[in-house]
Amino acid sequence: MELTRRDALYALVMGGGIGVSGVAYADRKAAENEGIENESGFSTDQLQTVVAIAEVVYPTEVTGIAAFVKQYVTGLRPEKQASLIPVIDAFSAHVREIHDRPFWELSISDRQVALQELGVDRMSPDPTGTLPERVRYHLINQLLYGLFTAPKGSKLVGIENPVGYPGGYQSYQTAPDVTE
Amino acid sequence: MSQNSTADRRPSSDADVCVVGSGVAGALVAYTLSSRGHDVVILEAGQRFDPGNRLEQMEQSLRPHGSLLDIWNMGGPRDQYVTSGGAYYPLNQTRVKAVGGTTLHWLGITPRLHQKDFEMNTRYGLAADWPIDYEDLRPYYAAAEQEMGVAGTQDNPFEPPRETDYPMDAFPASYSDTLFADACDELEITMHSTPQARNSEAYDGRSQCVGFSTCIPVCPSGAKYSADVHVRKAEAEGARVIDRAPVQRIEHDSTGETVDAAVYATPSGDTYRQDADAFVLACGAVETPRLLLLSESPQYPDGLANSSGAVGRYFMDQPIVSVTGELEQPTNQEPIGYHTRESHQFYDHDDPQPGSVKLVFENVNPESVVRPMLSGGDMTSRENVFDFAMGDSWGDEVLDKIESNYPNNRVRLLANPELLPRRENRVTLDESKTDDFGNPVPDVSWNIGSHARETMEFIREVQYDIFDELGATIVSETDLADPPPASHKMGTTRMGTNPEKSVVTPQLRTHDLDNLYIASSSVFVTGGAMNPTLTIAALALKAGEHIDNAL
Repeated sequence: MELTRRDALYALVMGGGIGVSGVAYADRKAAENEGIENESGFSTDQLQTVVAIAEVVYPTEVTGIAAFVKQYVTGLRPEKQASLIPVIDAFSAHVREIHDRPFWELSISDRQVALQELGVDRMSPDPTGTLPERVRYHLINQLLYGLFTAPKGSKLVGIENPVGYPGGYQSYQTAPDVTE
Repeated sequence: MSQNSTADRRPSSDADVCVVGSGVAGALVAYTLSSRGHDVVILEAGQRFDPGNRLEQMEQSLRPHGSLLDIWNMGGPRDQYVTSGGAYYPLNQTRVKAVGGTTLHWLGITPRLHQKDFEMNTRYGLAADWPIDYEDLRPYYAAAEQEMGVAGTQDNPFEPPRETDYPMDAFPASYSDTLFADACDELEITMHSTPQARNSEAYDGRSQCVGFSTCIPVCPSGAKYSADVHVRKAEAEGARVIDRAPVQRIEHDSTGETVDAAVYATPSGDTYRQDADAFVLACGAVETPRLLLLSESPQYPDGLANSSGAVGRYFMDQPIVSVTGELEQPTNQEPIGYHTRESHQFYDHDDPQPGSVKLVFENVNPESVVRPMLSGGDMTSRENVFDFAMGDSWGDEVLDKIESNYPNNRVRLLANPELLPRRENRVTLDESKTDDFGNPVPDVSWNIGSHARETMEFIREVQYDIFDELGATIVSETDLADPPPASHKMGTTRMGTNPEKSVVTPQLRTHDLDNLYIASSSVFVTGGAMNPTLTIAALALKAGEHIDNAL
């Protein structure tokens, strides 16, 4: 299942409050952003780190992760982006100290090990906690939140309009597509 | 979110009306009176939440950390309580103390009570009659539907007479509703639309519902009505809101016939007296009697306005009866957050037993996959405070777990049976435990009597019949011995004409004090089996009219 930048915009839509459908809003924003690589406050290294984390925690069925993740994190609210950056930097510094390389240069399996060594997999998310707790909250859980509140990501578990996505008013009336 | 502790919280001078509480009752009274030229001040114990943060609150609700109670700052030292009845009452999960009150996280269902609910003693020899009847409240119901914005269609053959169409068309049936249709036809059970204060089209400057599916705990789009709408309208008419100002007691004059002031505390540690010509208590069925009981005086040693001894008594809610079944076909339970079809067929009964009951065809929303995904595959409820463990997996491993845990073939029926008012079901003060201001906390004592239990058993059989006809396999059901409440708190300052048996008059003024009114579900004499909020709103509009006439 290939993710696109448009899927990332679907994950970011705020349609309900402004009276337009989320899909229309996302489509318009996608057109506006066409060709724009990165106008955010993230450095290229920081974005590569986040993409590399997503490649570990997203199901292997998912492709197109880099485009999706870059669009998603750079589209987050400024205060949310600002909360991510110090965690990325702290995490990157930790990995470089242990492995002498940037996180994204590690193999997928080594990335998995690096996250486990830090204890990220066994810690509860806490936005102001220890480094593993902050990595779990700000990076891993934010990436998973983006994927599973977007229609395409949620479709991985058979739900086309997930909770938290403003498309349910149309979908709840329709019969299941049994051909899939 | 507003946590402003330095705002000017000094009392207003020359206030005509002081309203305590800013939920649907307080907001509508304040709007009614301010729009008629009165100087209104609202004292709200909780904070004001910025509507611009609703999406952030939704994300908070979907993430698996913290508690759902945190979203509206529910619980904590301010909201300490105890429950001592035969049935546990989870008070802090059923109310919000904030500008807008509990409508910030309500479901939004807005049926009217039926005529019989006002005449339970006359018709069945049970409980007591209201001192007003359905016809008295009928115009206020219509006005409340307009104010809140109710979507509905006149396809319900059992609903009481109405004079006007609903402001908006009803929400279409869900696909899963249609799965019940044949079985209900066969059993001669009539399904019909569900009136709800949720926009099926743009209304009153607010968006149509777009289906975020998080009505409880938070509607990010503003399509679901919440009382902060009318708080803002009241403010536009000149009303003033003082938030984070819990009222500590109500004080009367030397004669004991008139209220002088509401004494309230502020975050800065100051205590003020708000004077006014009239006072309205609009704090719901728990805090309203609690405040009266806290305001005891030499003239009212058992609590203010409590000459009858009825303050705190006749507390009601409706127990939930639910059955979940599985079909051999997908039910397409795409999330929507609310139900769209009900049946009031079992409401207007001829004999005293079983009592009224409302049957609901639930849309069994799939659990948000976000939460288990972010919990590392931990499928247990995060509301279980004893479960500190988080799952430790992600990626394919979690996906496999979720796929096997969320079958898309479930249907559910809910029902709310009526619970008769019982004198011993009550809210009292527990002197052994105090809140953050040192006040005794409320003790909610709730027991489910034989009438409600018989009604529960009756509707459970109806639910079984529907599932049998549907060919569904029952996979879970609520325990009839220990049902959860529907969060419809009612009673405790009942309305009546006899001051020895009731707390407020049919005009919602307390029998004991000339300028003290109560706008709340606390004035309900009986609760019926319908969601109470529209009736609260209608009574608030009625109270506003009486106060306007009295000023």
